[in-house]
Amino acid sequence: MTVQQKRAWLTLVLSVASVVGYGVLIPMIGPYKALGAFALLGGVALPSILPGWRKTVSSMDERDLLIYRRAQLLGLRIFWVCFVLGTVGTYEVIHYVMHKSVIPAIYLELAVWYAAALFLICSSSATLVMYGRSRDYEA
Amino acid sequence: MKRKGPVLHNRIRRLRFDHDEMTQQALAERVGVTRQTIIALEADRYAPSLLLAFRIARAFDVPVEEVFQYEFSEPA
Repeated sequence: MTVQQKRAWLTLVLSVASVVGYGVLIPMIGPYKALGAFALLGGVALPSILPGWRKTVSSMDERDLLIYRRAQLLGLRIFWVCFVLGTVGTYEVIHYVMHKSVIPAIYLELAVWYAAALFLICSSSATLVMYGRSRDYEA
Repeated sequence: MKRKGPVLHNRIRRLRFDHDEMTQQALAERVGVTRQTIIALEADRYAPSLLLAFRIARAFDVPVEEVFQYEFSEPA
């Protein structure tokens, strides 16, 4: 497993854990305090700080860079589609289904965290898939 | 299933064995990429940059066209 794959796994695990953690914490401490679960996303930056992981970027060759760029682009595209649908859909649901005229502040904060988590999940998953494609051919 | 469109084949595996059974790691270090990139190249799953193609050819001391062959099959 390359350093980039390890980093992608770390990102994926932390992102999924933060989203699941939020859902699990809501019944226990309420929706506002449960937002603290997204603090786990801070761990995504650990490889850039910890000395043993710092070589991640410097050890990238041209294929690693290509995979990195493709994964980031894919994550961005999925995020954008969900962002547009989410923005339009949230308003419709609040206005026509819940019959309210204002969007609760927590929705905005949640949207930011979910967007970050979604981007990280998509890009790290794409990274792992692209690296995994040539695994069967290892000699 | 045969792939459609342009495909870049290579003889890297053959050339490695012809050069004292050079390991993938040794070739990777020589041309400045990771072993995984050599694996992907040998499996025709990655088309290298022109610069890397020339570096690989130079590592085997052969012209680049002896390492890489371009094939184009018309889409059906």
